[in-house]
Amino acid sequence: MIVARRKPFKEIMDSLEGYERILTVGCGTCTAVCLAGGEKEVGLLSSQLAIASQLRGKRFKLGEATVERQCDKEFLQELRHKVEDYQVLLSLACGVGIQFLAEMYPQKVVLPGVDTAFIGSNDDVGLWTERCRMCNQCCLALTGGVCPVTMCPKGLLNGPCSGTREGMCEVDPSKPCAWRLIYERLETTNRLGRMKEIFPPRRHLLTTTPAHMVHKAYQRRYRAHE
Amino acid sequence: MNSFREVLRSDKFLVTVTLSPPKGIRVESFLRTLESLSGKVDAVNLPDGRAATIHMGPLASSLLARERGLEPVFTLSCRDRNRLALSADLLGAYAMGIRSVLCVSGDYFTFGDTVDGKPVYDLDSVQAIQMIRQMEQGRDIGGNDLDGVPDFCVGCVANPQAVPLEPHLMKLEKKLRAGAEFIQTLDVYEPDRATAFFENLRTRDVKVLAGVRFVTDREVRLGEAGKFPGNPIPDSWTKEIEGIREEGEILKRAKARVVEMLRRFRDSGLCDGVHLTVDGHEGLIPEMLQEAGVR
Repeated sequence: MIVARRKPFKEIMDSLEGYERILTVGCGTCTAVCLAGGEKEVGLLSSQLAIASQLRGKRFKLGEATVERQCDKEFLQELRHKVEDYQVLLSLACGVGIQFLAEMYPQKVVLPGVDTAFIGSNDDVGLWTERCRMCNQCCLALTGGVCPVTMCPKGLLNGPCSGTREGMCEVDPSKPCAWRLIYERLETTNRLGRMKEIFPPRRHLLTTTPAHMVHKAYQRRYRAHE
Repeated sequence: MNSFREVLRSDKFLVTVTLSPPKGIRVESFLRTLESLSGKVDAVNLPDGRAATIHMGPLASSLLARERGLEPVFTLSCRDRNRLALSADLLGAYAMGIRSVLCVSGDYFTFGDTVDGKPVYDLDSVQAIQMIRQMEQGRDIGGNDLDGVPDFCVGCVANPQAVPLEPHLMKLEKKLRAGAEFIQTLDVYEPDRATAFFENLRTRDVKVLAGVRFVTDREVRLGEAGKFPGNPIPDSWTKEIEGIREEGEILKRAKARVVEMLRRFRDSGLCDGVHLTVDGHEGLIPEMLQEAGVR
């Protein structure tokens, strides 16, 4: 899932300078799970905005809406009548949803209410960890199911850097060195031979942005070529 | 013939030194350091954004060292350059007379004083060594022909005190397979914890230089601030200089430690030489080498 963090309130207020009719738009999927932009967070932010506007002697016209997913046109269309009354759509979706909302309603000012951080695991209540950098060339088969591109801050493919301290990472000593984990996992599963192979340099061409993908079955529909 | 390779092939106990290039454009003090070391050490390492800080780059500082009659080891960090930039700097360095290169991943940004920079790490040190060896075969990393080929003496880094050691040895093995000819280790503070590492390399066709660090209150402070990459300075070392106000006394103790480590490594037969780091007090190097009997 995508993990995001609510932006500081002051930053949001600064970005709203000059506007008074604001619709806060939540997302019911990833940012709801990470407690940054679901229905509850939309309500909370809207209340904060109401209090702040009153303290400043203003009276914002505030609205709330949360759709299933902001990264899906089908759900964004539900907002087409509601947006008419507002100058600003303050999106609490990830960066994808925010951009998609802006594309869907080009006449409106669309502003971000969250910072999108990473895609990661839902470890426990309120606890998430990045697990994948979406490098488009997965090497997990060779690294015991531990991703060196993500779990090693340097993304080293051929083993640990010399800076590890007692098996912990030099960048964050509270975290284990990714290559220690890889070594342990491969040893446990009797596959240490994998660690002797020299990985070739990564193909960064495969992560040229913006990425785009057409499913094989739909290539004719989009006139795409493999 | 590559002159540093010749030195590596000799039986002498080798001494190399990591220098601190100027933080700015004033080179006078750096040049004085170079002159004081000329003829006293086998090579000097010119770092590349050491501890993720900004200082004069390794090409310019290597040329300054070479002009002063020292053998420069041009350090190439994968942290700051992609494969194009690494290749470009290597070709330029060779054309300017640089013959020795040390490939490192590079200390991460968080150690430095410019923490928001973009870490590159397009290649790792194993891949960088492979890239150099491929250039020596006449092809760049993209497989394109080169007009004239370099012949570098290539070195790498390893940590003899790493725990667990095995994954580090496996990576080192890759570096050697890729073509590393010498190893300059991270600073070793507890030689007893490093014996297995050195023993492992005893029969290998590679020269191993053990890292020795001159530790003053400056290094202790950096360590406390989380700005000291590499192995942590042991408590026994920090306690020895704790509370001492007089700089002369701190330097005396730091010097004694270095001399003791130099002797220990020379007498152990575990390594082929030492790689010294004496930040800010490089002038003391010749007398420490003499006192330890390694020069």
